[in-house]
Amino acid sequence: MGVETNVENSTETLLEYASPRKTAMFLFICAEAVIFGSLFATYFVMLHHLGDGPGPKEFFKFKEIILPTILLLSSSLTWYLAEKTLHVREKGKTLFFIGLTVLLALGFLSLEMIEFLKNIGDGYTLSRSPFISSYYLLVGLHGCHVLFGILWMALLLVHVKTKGATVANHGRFVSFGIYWHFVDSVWVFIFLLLYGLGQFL
Amino acid sequence: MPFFNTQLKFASDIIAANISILVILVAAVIYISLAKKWKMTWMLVRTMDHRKIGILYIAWGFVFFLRAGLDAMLMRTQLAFPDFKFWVFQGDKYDQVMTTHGTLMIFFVAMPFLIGLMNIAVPLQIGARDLAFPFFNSLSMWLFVIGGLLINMSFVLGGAPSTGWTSYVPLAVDKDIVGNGTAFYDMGVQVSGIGTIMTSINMITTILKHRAPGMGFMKIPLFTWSVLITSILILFAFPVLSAALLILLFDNQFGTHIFSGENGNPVLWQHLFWAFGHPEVYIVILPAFGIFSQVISTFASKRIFGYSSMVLSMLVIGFLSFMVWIHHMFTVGLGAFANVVFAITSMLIAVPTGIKIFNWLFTIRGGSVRFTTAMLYALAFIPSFVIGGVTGVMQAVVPADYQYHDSYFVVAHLHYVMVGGTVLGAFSGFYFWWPKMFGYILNDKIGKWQAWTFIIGFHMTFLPMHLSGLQGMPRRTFTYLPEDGLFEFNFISTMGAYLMAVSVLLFLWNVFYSYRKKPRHGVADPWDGRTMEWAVSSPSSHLRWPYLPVVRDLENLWYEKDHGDGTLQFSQKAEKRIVVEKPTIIPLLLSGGFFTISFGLIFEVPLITIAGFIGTLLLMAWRSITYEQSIELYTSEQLEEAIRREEA
Repeated sequence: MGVETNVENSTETLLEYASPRKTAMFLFICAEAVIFGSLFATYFVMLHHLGDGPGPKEFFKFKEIILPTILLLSSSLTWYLAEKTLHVREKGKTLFFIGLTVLLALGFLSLEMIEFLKNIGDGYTLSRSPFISSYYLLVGLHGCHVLFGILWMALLLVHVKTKGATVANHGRFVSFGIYWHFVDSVWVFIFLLLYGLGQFL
Repeated sequence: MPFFNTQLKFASDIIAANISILVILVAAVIYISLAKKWKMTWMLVRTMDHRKIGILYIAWGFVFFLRAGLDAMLMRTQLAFPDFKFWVFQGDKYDQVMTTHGTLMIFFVAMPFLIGLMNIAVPLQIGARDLAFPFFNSLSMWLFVIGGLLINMSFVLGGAPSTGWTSYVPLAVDKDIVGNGTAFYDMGVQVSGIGTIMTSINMITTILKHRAPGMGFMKIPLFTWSVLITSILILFAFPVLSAALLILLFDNQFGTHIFSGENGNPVLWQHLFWAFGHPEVYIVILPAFGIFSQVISTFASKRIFGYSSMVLSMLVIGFLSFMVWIHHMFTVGLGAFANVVFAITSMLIAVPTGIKIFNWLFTIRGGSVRFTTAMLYALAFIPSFVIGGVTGVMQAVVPADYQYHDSYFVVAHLHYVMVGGTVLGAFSGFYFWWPKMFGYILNDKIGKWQAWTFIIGFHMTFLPMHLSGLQGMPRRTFTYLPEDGLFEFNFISTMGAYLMAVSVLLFLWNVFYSYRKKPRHGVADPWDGRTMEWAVSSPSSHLRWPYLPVVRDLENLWYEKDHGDGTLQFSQKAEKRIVVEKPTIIPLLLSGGFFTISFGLIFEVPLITIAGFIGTLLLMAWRSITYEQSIELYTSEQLEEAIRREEA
């Protein structure tokens, strides 16, 4: 007995279905925000624990982070479009926009990997100084979230392809949308507080 | 013996532990085979029913309770006489036993006992068919079990954690001293913490979204209110621990030096730990408050006194719990200003707690009190907890705390609130909701023996600790000298601890005895209950309420008994889409994935970790893809028919 066999796909069932999921997802985001908040706090405590490593001004290269930032933030927009096109049941467009979001996220992630590798090449390894460790922990955890998001989107691609615009898929899209916008907004904070503020410290 | 990058040593205590693990496993397998319960076990590990998951929580919690209690017995025996040498439990071994005792009791005994009771009672109290996400409920439970097993296994797999349940750095990340112990602690608590966060999300969503029609916020029974507030505390406190443990993992296994080394900051760990740790103690006490509110009003046959002030004081306690954590760190030297601010906020918590104590007393006043075992525990709780609260306020006084700090006075205080609050609450809840869990009542006579031995043993153990602490006995030491003058206090404590052990065995005997003797009918409402959980059959059935009950009053069942025919009124509205999850093994497999990840991280075998990650992700994907096949949909009429079929 599938979800769609005996229930009409009305707005009411949609709301009824999505509402607890939305609540749970927002609560999950609260927990995530606390984790990231703790890591931000750790980062700021570690700001002066430099050892023989570089300080933030030397370490962060502001210009190189602009492109990945644009990629990641525009992925929020493409995801929004994916969600809206699913809403009006244009399956082809939905698939296209999910693909685009995946590509943008992959672009962001590969640029971040390049930055990490470059850092390691410069001798700024994970255990160089507590300051750099806290940077890797925070940005690395965010990167893991992006990676998880990419895998999640791949799964959603399968769901839309096989099942189309069903109630369950709407629920899945709502949940992922909350997650993805959150991951993007964490990046805004990383961009501003680490890379941006780092130029002035 | 080499074992994944470490060496296993076989000392006499390790061999004894190995043998006892083997004996227990073999006995379990033989019992299940002889009693032909393999099919039942298979059903049980796949269950999605909130009652059964609650029972599993409590059963596993009890297993860990016995282990942690055994640790306590070993410690108390070692401390019974001055300069005593009991078996191997001196120095490092004592530290290990002490750490597992603390970690297990808080994360793997107090939490699962309470979460188990939440699982059993909350959906029934608010008129929901199950929790909002039964799958996640089952997953949370198995993650907790895996975490507990990790901590327990550490003893035989190359060294248990030995730096206390607080795991202070830099000691905790010094591998020459602690070996793999901290890694076991880290992953065990981390994995179960993930489960706990999921439980909290599940509980909040259930209480916010799945209340029966008519149940406004001020008609929610107090236990459910306490669960809601506790869950919010979990939601904001546990992630701090997750982040701290993540950093600790990196410091411990990947060579970073955030908490240690010449450039690290060990106080940051203390801040992060206690920013979680203080809300945690309210996480384990608030549900106990909720249980006592239910028990006292039921057995005083009276509506709870000052319901709205009870709710409000719990909210205030929850709010304040996030702004008192520095009182664990008065002696760190954060400056007079910080100490004063946190001293005041710590003292403030006594106000809402006092309000609750008085409300319970006023509920009893003028009621017709029935002294059942559950009520006995509730009555014992009030004075015990007041003592614990008063010593708490004493420690909030900063200059005095410099004297109490790190002495047995602190040990006495924390046990008075943890045992006197949480454990008494858990036992009270067990006796109260046992019929709802299993369909039979625990014997009241044995129960009273158990309660009295426990209460007397508890005070005998911990009251002298105040005095030995004031005499200067430091905590976390494995012995003292004859000339210290501490022998009498310690000896009394040890005897009290044995008495508590006897009481716990009595409880097990009671479970066994009552299971054999008690009639299984007429137990749907044995206490003349007041809230909705007593309106369904005992044990509660998985499929229920094709039409949702209508809530007309805070004590809905009592209201119907008083004004109606004593049965619930049901909504006329037929539902079109009632989701029931089919049983599945995926949660157990997923927790196996988490176990693999942890195992790889602890023993530093990257391949195992990666395999664990891939397995976990694949299982998650599998669950997502098969979601549509893993649920059953009913309309109200279909559910009614399904229930009829099940009863026939």
